[in-house]
Amino acid sequence: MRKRDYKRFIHITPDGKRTVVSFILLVLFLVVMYIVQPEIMKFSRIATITNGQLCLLLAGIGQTFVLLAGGIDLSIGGVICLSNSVAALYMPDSIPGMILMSILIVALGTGIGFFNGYIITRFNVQPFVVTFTVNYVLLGISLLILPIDGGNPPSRYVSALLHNFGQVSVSMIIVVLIVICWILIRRTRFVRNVYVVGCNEKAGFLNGIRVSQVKMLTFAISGGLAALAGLWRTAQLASGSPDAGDAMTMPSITISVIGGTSMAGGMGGAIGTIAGAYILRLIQDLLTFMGAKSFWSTVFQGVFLVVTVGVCSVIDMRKGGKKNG
Amino acid sequence: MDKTLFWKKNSTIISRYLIVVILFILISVLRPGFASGTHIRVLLAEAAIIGCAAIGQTLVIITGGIDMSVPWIFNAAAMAAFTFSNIYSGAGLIVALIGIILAGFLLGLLNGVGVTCLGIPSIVMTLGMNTILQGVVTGLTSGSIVGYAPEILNFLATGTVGGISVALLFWLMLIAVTMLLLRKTSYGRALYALGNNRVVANFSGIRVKKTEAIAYGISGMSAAMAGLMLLGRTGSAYLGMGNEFQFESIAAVALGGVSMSGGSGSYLGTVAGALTIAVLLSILTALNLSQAMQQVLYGIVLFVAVLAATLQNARNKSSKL
Repeated sequence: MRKRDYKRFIHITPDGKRTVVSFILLVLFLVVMYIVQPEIMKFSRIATITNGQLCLLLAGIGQTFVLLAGGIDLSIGGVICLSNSVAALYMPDSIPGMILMSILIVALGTGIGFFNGYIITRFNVQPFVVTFTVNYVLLGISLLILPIDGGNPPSRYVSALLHNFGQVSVSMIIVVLIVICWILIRRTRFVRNVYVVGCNEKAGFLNGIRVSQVKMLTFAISGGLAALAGLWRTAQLASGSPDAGDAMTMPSITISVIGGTSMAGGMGGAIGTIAGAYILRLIQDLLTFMGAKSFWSTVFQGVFLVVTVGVCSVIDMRKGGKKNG
Repeated sequence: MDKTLFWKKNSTIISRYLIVVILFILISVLRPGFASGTHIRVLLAEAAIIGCAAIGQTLVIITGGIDMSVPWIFNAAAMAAFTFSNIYSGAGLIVALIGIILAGFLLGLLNGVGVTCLGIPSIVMTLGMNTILQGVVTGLTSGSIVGYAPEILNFLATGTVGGISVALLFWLMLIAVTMLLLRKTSYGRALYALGNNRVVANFSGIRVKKTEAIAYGISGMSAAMAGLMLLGRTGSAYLGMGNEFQFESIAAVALGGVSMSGGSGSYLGTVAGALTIAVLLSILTALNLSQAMQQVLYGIVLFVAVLAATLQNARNKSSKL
């Protein structure tokens, strides 16, 4: 690549450097994984990994939107649990019914996101306080709907989402669609406004951006995507769980940050988050391959989150950028 | 003149205590058994644990951060004490317990170092620490452990001296120490200054990083102490015993009128918050609802209360300016 082209490439992806770094990391881990386990490059294996990570990936993209606008969404886990419980119990066994039910669930998630965003912007409350309490209530509601793990989503629903066209799985198509969508919407006024609000709220406001509207929309997107993640989880597990999805909130932050999204807002993007989701999975596979017990995976998740955010933040500080974002 | 100033200055805290009293009277009228001596003692012991866990949370929130690592520091301390009771006895055990509390301080300090020196947002640093500890504790204990709750902790949590429970006396002592720390020491003043405006605090010669890191350390220490108290009360330690305290410690602080953006509030308010939560929890238990319904109602009530507290704070602040 010539230097000019390279510069243009960087220019196209907002804060492209970090997204590029995340892809370099992804390639690095793929190479390491390929050395120890050559079958990782098989198409079917990639399809399995994508099936497994799509739930987290959707949640992470929602989180990315919120982080880009300078917020944080801790209610993602609760929305996933709620959507998972409702879908596992009430998904009807007819094609129009399934579509209608899915739309209803996504609308519910979006509504919850809107509610979060409305309370945060209207009353000027810290995002984590609102989303944290909402998460608590949502977990209670899911437990009310589905007291124990179970539920029985129709087999047609499960097999439709886990279907393979030849070697291409539905989840891979969804990931490609997400990438295309992101490329299409990245240049729109809304997404640009999200970046501006995350970088400098005051400047955005003075330039005529409706800051609270933009923020509310990011939370709504996050809620909607979390509901989608719950729908996917229902198919993936072919059952429901009122509390297991709660563990998704933290990794959703982790993959956004590995993907190059800044916790301070205004930098990063959804494509990096996708890379982040795969990186997380590859590292976990590597740990399993090395024979680590399952609790190490929990320890590692925490260490990884802290280290990535720490490294990014130290680099920011060196640059003399924002401190304590 | 002096008197009205006193009321004006402390209106937030006084209103919090009024809420507790009104809530309590209302329930005692509806349910006669509620106001009995034994029940009040149980309530206060419950509030003491929540209040203890919320000491550090108050300090951290005054600096403008948040500590999400309370539950697993709490759990780790209880598990450690439970295991040590097999090995040590007498004076050795007391040294071990002090060691556990110090370990809590160090874990909290680690949070503080991450937040101040590496610039990691406090919510991420403490969430990460919480997950790490969850993994480590689960791994080390492989799910279940044997032991017994040390007698001294039993006495601390359930014993009585002259009709007054020891837990309450211990809590009163902690309240006094915390209030002195916040009101009368240079550290406390530095904490408020830092929460109000970091840059100004820095230029006024306050060692911002050190002050902030120690607040997280104290939070770890108070979480460990609360864990020991709960171990003394329940008599055994189990995985996940601290999970409720993540929500409760933050809610107690918010209900007590401490501003979530830092710089104002007092531990006396948090004490009222802890009492409110204890009364609320026991009302919900008395209503005989399912666990799930309890969680939903509890969450909604606290959501409204936290929102109201934040709004009141914002109004107070703007009227002062």
